[in-house]
Amino acid sequence: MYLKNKKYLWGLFPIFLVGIVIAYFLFFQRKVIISTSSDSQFFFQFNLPNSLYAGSKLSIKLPQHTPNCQLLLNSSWGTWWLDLSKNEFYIPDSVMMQSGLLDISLFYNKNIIAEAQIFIKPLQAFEPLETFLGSKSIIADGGEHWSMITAIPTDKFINPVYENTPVHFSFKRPNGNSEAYDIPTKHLVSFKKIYSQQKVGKTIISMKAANAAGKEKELLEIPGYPRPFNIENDELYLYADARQYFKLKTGIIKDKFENVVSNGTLVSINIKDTDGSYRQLTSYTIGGIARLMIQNPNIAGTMQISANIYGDVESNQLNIQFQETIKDFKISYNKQTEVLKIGPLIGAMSQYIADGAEVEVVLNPRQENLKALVIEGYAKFNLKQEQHPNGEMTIRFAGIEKRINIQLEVKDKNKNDKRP
Amino acid sequence: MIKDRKFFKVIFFLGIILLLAVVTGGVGKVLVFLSKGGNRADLLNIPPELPSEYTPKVIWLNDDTDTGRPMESFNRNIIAKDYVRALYQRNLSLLTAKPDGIKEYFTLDARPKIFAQINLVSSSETIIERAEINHNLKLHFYSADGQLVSFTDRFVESRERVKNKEGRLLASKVEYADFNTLMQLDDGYWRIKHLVRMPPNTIPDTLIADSTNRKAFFLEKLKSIKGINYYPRDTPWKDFWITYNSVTTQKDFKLIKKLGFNTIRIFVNFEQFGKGNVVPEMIQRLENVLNTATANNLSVIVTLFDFNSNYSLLNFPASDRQLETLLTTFKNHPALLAWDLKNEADLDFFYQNREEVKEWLKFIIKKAKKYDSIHPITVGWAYPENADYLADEFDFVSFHYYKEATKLGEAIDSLRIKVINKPLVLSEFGLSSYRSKVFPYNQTETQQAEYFRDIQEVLKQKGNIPSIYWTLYDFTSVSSDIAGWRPWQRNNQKYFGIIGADGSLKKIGNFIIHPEQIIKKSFIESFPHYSFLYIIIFLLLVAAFIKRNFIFSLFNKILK
Repeated sequence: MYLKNKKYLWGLFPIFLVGIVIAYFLFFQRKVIISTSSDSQFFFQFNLPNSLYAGSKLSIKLPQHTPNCQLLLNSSWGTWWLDLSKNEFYIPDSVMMQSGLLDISLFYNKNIIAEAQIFIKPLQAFEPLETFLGSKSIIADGGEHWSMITAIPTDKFINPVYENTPVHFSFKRPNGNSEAYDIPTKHLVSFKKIYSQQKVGKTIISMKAANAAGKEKELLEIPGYPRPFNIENDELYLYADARQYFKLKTGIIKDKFENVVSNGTLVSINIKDTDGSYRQLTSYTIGGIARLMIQNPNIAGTMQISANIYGDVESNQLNIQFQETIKDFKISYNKQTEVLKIGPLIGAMSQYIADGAEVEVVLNPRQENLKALVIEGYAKFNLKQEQHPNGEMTIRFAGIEKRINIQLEVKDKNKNDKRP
Repeated sequence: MIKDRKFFKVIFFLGIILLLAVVTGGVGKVLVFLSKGGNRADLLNIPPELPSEYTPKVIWLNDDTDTGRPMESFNRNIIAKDYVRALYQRNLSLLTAKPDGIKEYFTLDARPKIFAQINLVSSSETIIERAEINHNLKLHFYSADGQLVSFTDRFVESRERVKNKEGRLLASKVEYADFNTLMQLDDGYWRIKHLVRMPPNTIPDTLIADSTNRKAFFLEKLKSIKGINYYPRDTPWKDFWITYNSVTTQKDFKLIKKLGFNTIRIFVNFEQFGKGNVVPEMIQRLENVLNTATANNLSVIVTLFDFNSNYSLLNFPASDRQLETLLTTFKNHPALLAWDLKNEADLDFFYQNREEVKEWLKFIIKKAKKYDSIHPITVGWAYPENADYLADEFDFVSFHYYKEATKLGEAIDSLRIKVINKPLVLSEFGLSSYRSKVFPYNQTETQQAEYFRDIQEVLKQKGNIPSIYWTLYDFTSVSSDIAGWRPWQRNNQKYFGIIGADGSLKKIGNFIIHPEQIIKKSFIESFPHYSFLYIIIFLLLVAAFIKRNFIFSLFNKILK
């Protein structure tokens, strides 16, 4: 009864599966046997030239009724494989354009049956000639420094040309001389060292390989380390008036081969002032000369000036004596307006002291400094504005010191604004 | 209706759970992505470094007398690295027939030539595999501003394989050539500007062949070996070198000596040893093994390239580097007896492309002879049927045998016909004493000991063929990537040892120490373990059949 219903046969399915699994690991064994391949061969020999020029056509002809063969090409830049379906076949142009040794192997049934090597020769140098200059600038120090010019001549397929292809180098040196060299390429390049000479300027370089010219190159020969130099002053007004300027000027600064240093060489100028303080000023050379305008001091005395470049190359030292511009001055005080008036301030040549000169008043009890500028020979202090100072004051101008004592009347504070 | 509602409730709950799972998983993935950060190379736009497996040998020959400017060793290394990397990129592009990455390594005027080459490959519907094995660089010119360099790469060994799109090998070729090379510093990278292939100029080998007759001494020593394949009990195969423990090695080697063995065979994991750039720590560990062996008066057969199944050409340079490093480092070690270059290479004939494996083997053999001309070399074949392959290249022929002991004699005889004048070594044999409780596997310790005895008997008859037993210990664990996922195979691998996982000597161990004693078979052993399980199942089925009415009524009750 049960067997009539075929659904119950599915019950056998797991048993079937278990059976397969058991059979699998009982009987299934992996065996490896190395088979030796039997290869039927046929003989063929390439009949190809030993060398060809790049870009030429090369065809490979196989005899009629040749079985299906393949070709393996090893060229300078890679490997290529081709199934030969025809009896005559042209090697692709892109392969024939690469100079160097080309290996051609003919395969049949995984075996090499014929081999050939063709050297693909580069063509003549083709423009533009590629050139490299480094360094771009060197010091004209008579041959200590050098630069290098390199040419990499290539043919029209950008293959490096043959070894020993001459490259013509010509140089126009700064001293007007011309030089020319023929240097053969070696290991793909042709190069020439350019040694510096003694004159500053541009070396113009041109190169030519066969008929291919290259770009013009410029080598800059620059001046070397400066030598010690002189400084001098000019347009000097010898009074410490703090108004006039005098000109400081270096001599033409040169290197050891008498080349003027490059424009923009930094010159540091060290000054010891008449009041004993130090300062450093800078200037740049133009045409080898650095110039600087320096203001006269306000105190009489000696100003010491020296210059250097790179803190190393020193100049001479200048000592400039500045005289007093004023010997004495008057002081007046107006009690009504409470104005302290200093002047007239008369200079060495009976002229007013320049407007803008500074007069200093120290209010001694308060230890307070007041400053006023000279206008048309006088300097005025409005003491009312300065909170009615009382007592001793020191007045300083151009290194002269004077003391006065001003006693203001004691006022009633209630009558603040109504003083006599 | 009620049934429907219940049904929908269940579906609804399941749906919600599924939705939550998907949403949580998705959000997690997004969070992981966001917190991962960028790849340094991507962020800084650095061209990828040379992969660890591509390590061709680079030698700088003596420079020319006038190179324009002397080369600094710092730049020398950078130039060599960039040159190797550029050629590697060219090879990768030929392989994939895609121009990606070329512009990083070739100057503007060189690129069209490479692109043309790539176009040719892509039009020919083939795959070109190509690798350079060595570079001997001779510097000719280095420009004053350090922007141009010209050198010749002499006697480059290039290997090529042509495959069709299905991966079937069509041809392979080895070629030697010189390359006149010009490189330019461009954008901070050295790029190839010109490459001209020239006829090869051979260079004298730096490694000089050993003229003394030390190999004969080792071959003589090989005749008297009594060996054992070694892995520690708890860390076999891939765990051995990673978790290497010198104390365990010392203890085990003393034990091996006590058991009367004089030789061990160990395995060097290709990947764990760092492929081409061999990890110094691993060299130290291997040295420790060899030193311990010396201390215990044991000889060592070192098996190389274990678990390496990458036979592509791009792996050749790395194989070469590792071989060179290990062979030149240890060729004067007193414990070393022989090199086994690859374990069971014939198994890979089945899983990999057979011709590629063969090419790799030939390559490795040639290089091994160059690096160590003193020690005998071999390959341990998995089956004696295959052991005649490349026999002329080896100093002795080594094979493994795990089938019935009675058929070993036949196998040796048929091998002897093919291999006439080379010594034979049985470098692996053994029987597992695995008694499964479920699967029909029942090999007793007695059978194992008998197997050992029988094999030794056959080997003695066939002219005292030396042998190496697999293995010292029953292993506590065997990972599934060694023996496959099937439990009966995996567990089978655990019980080949002479000493049990608990440290007790098994019957085979007793036999090895006292070969004069007769192996006794116990009565219980004759019942396989798994039979008990099936008897119980059978009894349960019978009981169920008898009480079937009761079981049916029980089901009815539950369903109601």
